[in-house]
Amino acid sequence: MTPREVLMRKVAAADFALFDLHLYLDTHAFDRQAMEIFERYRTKAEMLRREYEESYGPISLGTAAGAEWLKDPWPWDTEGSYRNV
Amino acid sequence: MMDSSKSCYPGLNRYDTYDRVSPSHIMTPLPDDATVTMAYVPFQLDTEIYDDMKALEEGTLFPILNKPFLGSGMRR
Amino acid sequence: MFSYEKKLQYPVNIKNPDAKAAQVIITQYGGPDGELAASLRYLSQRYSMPYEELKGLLTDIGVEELGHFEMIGAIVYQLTRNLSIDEIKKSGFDTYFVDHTTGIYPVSASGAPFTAAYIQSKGDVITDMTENLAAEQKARTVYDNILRLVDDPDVRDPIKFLREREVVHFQRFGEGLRLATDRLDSNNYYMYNPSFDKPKR
Repeated sequence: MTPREVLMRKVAAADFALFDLHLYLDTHAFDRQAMEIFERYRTKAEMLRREYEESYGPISLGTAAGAEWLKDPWPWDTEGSYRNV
Repeated sequence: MMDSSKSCYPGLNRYDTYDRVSPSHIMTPLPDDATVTMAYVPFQLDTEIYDDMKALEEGTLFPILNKPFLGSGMRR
Repeated sequence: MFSYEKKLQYPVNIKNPDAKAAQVIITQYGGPDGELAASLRYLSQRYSMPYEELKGLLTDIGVEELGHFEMIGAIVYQLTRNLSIDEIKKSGFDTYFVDHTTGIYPVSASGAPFTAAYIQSKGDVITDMTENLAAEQKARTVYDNILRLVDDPDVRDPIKFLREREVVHFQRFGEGLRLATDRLDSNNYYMYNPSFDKPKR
C-alpha cells in the first residue's frame, strides 16, 4: 500500500469504530460507558482526519472547494489510475 | 400505555444519568413479558470491543456480533 | 440534510478486472436486496416513526447503506474498467455493455432495472421493523452467494465487510423493535399503530 492508502485505512478504521459505536448508542442511549468511549474515539478520528487532509487533500465536502476539492483520486479510483496534479 | 419512559424495570427510567451503568443493569436480553405473536431479538448486552483496525477488518466493533460465512468449504 | 465524505467506508482496491464477478455483484447495486433498496427503504420509513431512537436508527443505517451503494459502484467499476472486447463477449457481460458500456447503472444480476417495488414503507412501527429484519437477512444471503462465486481476495474483502454489516443491522433493527414493543401492551401489541393512532389513555 502507498503511504496515502496506509493513512486512509487508519482514518477509515477510526471513523468506522466511531460509527459502529454511534449505531450501538442509537439503541443503547443509556450506556454512559459507551458514550465515554465514543468521545475518546471522536477525538482520535478527528486527529487522524486532519493529518490525512494536511498531506492528501480534503475528505469533508465543507472543508475545501475548487481545485483542492476536485483533485484526484476520488474514492472509486484505483491507485495508479489517475494523474497526480 | 403510551409512557415513553417505560422500561423493563418498573420505576427505573433508562434515561436517568448514572455514573457508569452497563446495559445489563437496565435491559434484559428478552422482555419478561415476551409472548406469542411477536418477534424478539435478544438485546446486545456484551460490550466487548475490537481495536479499530481489527473492527474495520471484521466489519463490526463488537466480537459478539461477528458471524462470518464459512459455507460448505468452511473457508473464510 | 446530507453531506459527503471523499472516502469509502471500507477501501476498495481491485487489481484484476473480472466481468463475470461484476455481473453478479451489480445485483447489490440495483437489485431487490441491494444497498440502494436498503437505503431508500430506511430513509423513507423514518418519517412516520413516533420514537426518537427509531428516527435516529433508520436515518443512520439509511445513510450507511448509501455509503455501501457507493462501495458496490466502486467494486463494479474497478471490475469492469480495462476489459478487452474479447473478455466482454466471452463473459456474457456484453448484454449490459451494449446499453451502458462500462458505466454503472442500477440493475439486478438478471438485468432488471431498479424499482421501488423492492422496498416497503408501511407506516406501522412493528411492520416496518419486521420488514427491515427480513431485508437484512435477504441481503446477507446474497452476500453469502457472492462469496461462493468469487475467489479474488481484493473483491472478497469488501464483500465480507458488507455482509457483516447486514448482520449488525439485523441486530439493531431487532433492538429497535424491542424499544417499540417495550412501550406497548404485551397483552395485545396490535391494539393500535403508534405511528398513526392516538388512543385515549
